[in-house]
Amino acid sequence: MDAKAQENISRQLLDQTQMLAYAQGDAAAFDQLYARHKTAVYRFFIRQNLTTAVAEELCHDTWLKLINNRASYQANALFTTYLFTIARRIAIDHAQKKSVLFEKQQIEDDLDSLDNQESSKTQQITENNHDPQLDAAVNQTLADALKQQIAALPYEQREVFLLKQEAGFSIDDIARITFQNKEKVKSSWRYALQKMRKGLSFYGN
Amino acid sequence: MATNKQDDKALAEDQAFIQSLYDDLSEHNGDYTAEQPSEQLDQSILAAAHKAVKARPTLHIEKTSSRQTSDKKQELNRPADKRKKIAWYYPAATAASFLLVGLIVNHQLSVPINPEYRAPLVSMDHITKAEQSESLAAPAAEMELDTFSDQEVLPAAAEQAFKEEMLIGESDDAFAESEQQLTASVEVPVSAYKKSMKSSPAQLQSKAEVAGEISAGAVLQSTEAEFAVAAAKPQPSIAAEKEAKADMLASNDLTTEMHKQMLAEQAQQQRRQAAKAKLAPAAKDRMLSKQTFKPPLFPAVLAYEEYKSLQEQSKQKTLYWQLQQETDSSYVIKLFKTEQTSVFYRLNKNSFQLDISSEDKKRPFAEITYTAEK
Repeated sequence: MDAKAQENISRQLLDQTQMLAYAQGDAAAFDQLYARHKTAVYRFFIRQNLTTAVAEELCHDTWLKLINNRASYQANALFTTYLFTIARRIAIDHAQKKSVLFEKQQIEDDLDSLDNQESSKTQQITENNHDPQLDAAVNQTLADALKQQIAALPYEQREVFLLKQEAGFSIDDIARITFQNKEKVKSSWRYALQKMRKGLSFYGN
Repeated sequence: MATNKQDDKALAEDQAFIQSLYDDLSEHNGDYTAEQPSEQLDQSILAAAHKAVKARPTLHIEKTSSRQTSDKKQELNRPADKRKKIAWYYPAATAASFLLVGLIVNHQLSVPINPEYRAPLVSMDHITKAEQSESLAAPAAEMELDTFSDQEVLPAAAEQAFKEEMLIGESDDAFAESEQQLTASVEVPVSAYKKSMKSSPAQLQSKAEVAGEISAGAVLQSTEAEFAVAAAKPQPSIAAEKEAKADMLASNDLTTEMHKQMLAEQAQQQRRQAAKAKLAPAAKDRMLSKQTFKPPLFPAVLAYEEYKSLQEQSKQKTLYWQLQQETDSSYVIKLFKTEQTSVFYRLNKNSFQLDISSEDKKRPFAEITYTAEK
C-alpha cells in the first residue's frame, strides 16, 4: 500500500471521527470538516452548469442537511460518500425543478462559438511563442473550455466525471454514492473521458 | 480479450490526457483551481452548525406527558387574571342549544301525528255495506272447506281445540249485546289481517260453533249443543279479536313445525264444515228474524188507492194495525199483513181518522176511515 492510499485512509478515518464528534456536540470538529471538503462540494455544484449564486445556495442546503442529520450519521460509511450522496440528491432535486434541456441546447450552441474563438486565440498563441501574458490567457481559455466541456456532458456522465476527477472518488465509491451498478459507473466514466478528450484535443497538441 | 485491452488502454490514455490538463491548470494556479465558496457562505454554514449544536437540547427533546401535566398545573396555579380566559358565550351558547332542542321536541310531541286525518262519518252506505258483507259471509266460509282424514290431524287438532275452547269460554259473557250493534258497524281503517278476521259475523259465528264442537265433541254431546247455542249469539268485535289472538298464538307456538300447523288448519276446516252442516237451519232462522226486526226508517205515506186495496184485503182476511207514533199532522201505524211481516205507514190526520183510545192493542184495519172522502 503506497503512501497516497495510506494518507487517504487516515483522512477518511479523521473525517469519520470528526463527524461523530460533531454529532456529540463538538462544533470545532465541524469547522475542520468543512474546511477540508467545502471546495469539493462547491466545485461539484459549480460544474453542473449552474451560476455561482445557485451553486452556493445548493452548497448551503447540502451542509445544512448534513448538520440537521448529524445524529443519523453512522461510522460504517465514509464521510465523503455520505456528504456527496446528500449533494447529489440536492443537485437532482434542483435539476428536476427546472428544465435542463433548454440549457443543454444553449451550451452546445455556446460551445460551437467558443471553439471558434479558442481556435483563433490558440493560433495567435502558437504564433507568438512563450509570451508570459499569453500563458495566463491560455490557461484561462483552457479552464473555460474545460468547464464548458464538463457542462456539455450528459447528466450521468458529468456526475461520474466530477466525482471521479474533481472529488477524487474511486469507481466503487461513486457506485455507492449514485446507487448504481459499478459497471455502469465505469461505462459512464469511459464515455465522459472520450467526450472530454475529443472536445479538448486541441489543447493536448 | 483484445478489445478489452484496447478499451482499457484507450481509457488510460484519455484519463492521462485529462489529468495532464488538470495538472497544467493547477500549476498555473488559474481560476479553475482557485474556485472557492464565498466567505459569506462559509460564515452562514458555520454559524448554522454552531447554533445547531448549542440548541441541541431544545431541538431533539420532545415534550413528554409528565411535562404536559406540569404545564397544566402551572396554568392552574397562575392568577385568575393571567389564565386563559374562557369566552362568556360558550356556556350561553350551550344552554341555548339545549333549550332549542327541548322546544323542538316538545313542539313535535304536541302536534298530532297526521293532521289531515278525519274520522269517517257513519252513513247509510256504511250500514248497507255491513249488511251485504253479513249476507255474503256464509257462502265464503263454505268455499274454504276442504277434506282431510282424521288420522292426519288428530295430534294438532287436540291442541288447537283446547286453545279455542279457552278463548270462547272467556267471550261468552260478552255475547249478550244486541244484534243491532252489528248492523251499525262502521268501516274504520284497520290492518288487512284484522279486517279479514272481522269481516263477516257469520264467519265468526261458524268459528265459534266449530270451537264449541271441538271443545265438546270428544266428551259430551249435550255440551256441544249448549256451546253451539251460545256461540250462535253474534258478538263480532270481541270474538274477532279473540279469534285473531288465538290464531296468532297458535302460529307463534308452531312456527318451527310448519307441517303440524298446516295439519291443524286443515282439521279446523274439516270441523267447521261438519258444524256448519249441523247448524245451517238455525242460522237460516236467525237471518229471517233479523229481517223481521228491522226498524222502518222512512214509513210510506198511505195513499187513497192503497187504502182502498188494503180495505179490500181486510174484507177477505182481517188486517190489524197498531199505533206507533202520533204527530201534529200525521199518525204512524204498524200494519200486520201476516204474523211475521208488518209494514209501517204514515197517515195524514186531515185524510184519515183513527181510534187511538187504546194504543197498545191491535185493531182491525176496517176501522180506519178515509175522511177526505166525505
